[in-house]
Amino acid sequence: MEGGGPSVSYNGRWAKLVPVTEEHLEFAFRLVTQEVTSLRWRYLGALPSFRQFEQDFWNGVLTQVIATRCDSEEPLGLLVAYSADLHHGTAYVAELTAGRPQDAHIEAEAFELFLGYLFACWNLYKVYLEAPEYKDLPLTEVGRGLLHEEVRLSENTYLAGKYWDRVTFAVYQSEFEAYQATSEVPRPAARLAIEVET
Amino acid sequence: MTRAHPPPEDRIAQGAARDIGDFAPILASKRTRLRPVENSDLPALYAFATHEKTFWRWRFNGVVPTMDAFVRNIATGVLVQYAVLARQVEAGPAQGGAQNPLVGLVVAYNADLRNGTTYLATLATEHLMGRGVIMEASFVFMDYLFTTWPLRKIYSEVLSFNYEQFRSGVGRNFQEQGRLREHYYMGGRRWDQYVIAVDRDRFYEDAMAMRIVASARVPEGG
Repeated sequence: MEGGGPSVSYNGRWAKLVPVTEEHLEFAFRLVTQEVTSLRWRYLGALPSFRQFEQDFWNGVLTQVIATRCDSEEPLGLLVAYSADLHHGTAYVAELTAGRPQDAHIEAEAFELFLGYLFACWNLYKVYLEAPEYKDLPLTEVGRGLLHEEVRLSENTYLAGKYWDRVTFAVYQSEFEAYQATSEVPRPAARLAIEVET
Repeated sequence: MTRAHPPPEDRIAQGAARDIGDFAPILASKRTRLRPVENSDLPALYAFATHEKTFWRWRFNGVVPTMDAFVRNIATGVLVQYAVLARQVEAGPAQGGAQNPLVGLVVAYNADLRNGTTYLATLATEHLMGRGVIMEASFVFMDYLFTTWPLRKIYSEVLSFNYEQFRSGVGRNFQEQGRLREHYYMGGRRWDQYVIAVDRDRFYEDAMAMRIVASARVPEGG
């Protein structure tokens, strides 16, 4: 094995994860302030200045990456792990993409790559996704089976004249690992295990 | 139905309030009184927060901070907090038998005024836990919060080993919003964490809570 130690792959069949660079900040800012996506992100429709956005960008963040296409490296979205509590082995994850229907499978794969990366690098027991009920979740049909709805704050979030429920889902590391082991496509955590054995 | 303590807008509508001071919440119940935290309270509050039987329940999640760090962080993320004094209970050894001893803290934190929500946490001296004094203070504090801010809901997070003492209030004093399973590591295993909510309208319809909120107006022995 090259380098003699464990490694994590950031590449899937259609998507890959890359570090955030200066050039990606403007892309991320556009995503955060687009009329549709801005309603799903942490500002919930408020439009921050670029300077404010830049200042907030790493606040409370454990790690974040840009998801791109494998073939063209065109950025598709931002994936963030935040509010990590490594004492109790939990973190929150969020994804923000343009949400184009033709890219749904790529975005779903990117999200699963990101979960694999998190579980491979940090000793997390579970991760949470927190979303207002009107938000589409980024996982594939199979991946949705990993989501457990654990908390529903009823009528919590105001938008468009009504209060919407805010739902917290959990993905457990043990179930994610089992899912990867049966997946046809090697994912980061599965590949990590294979490489450590060789 | 006559309520022991109607919500402030009803008191105004009934003409009972002619001055802003007439509908200000009373920061006391029969057994407790709330007042702002004073510097001289900090050593006792630090002792409550780091007591061996309670330190892992408080917001530091089992990490024992230095006194300096405790003082620096006590107001972080806080909307408002009050010291809780006991009016009619015996002071424990930590309070030296003082009159109206400091017995705890009630805190509103992580407020989301856009959506009209906040979280509530309490801290209490170990010898009064489970005796209802802090619950009384919490009802008084919630009346203050709902009167002062346009809040719709007050949330609390409760670990499963504490939840039994709250369970009888499900659907009456509060609504269960869910449970983060195996969320919290303590004592070699993982524990669930419940999220509960007190809805403003239901709070003012809760006869027991309203009797407590109004109890400071009941004369001694009455």
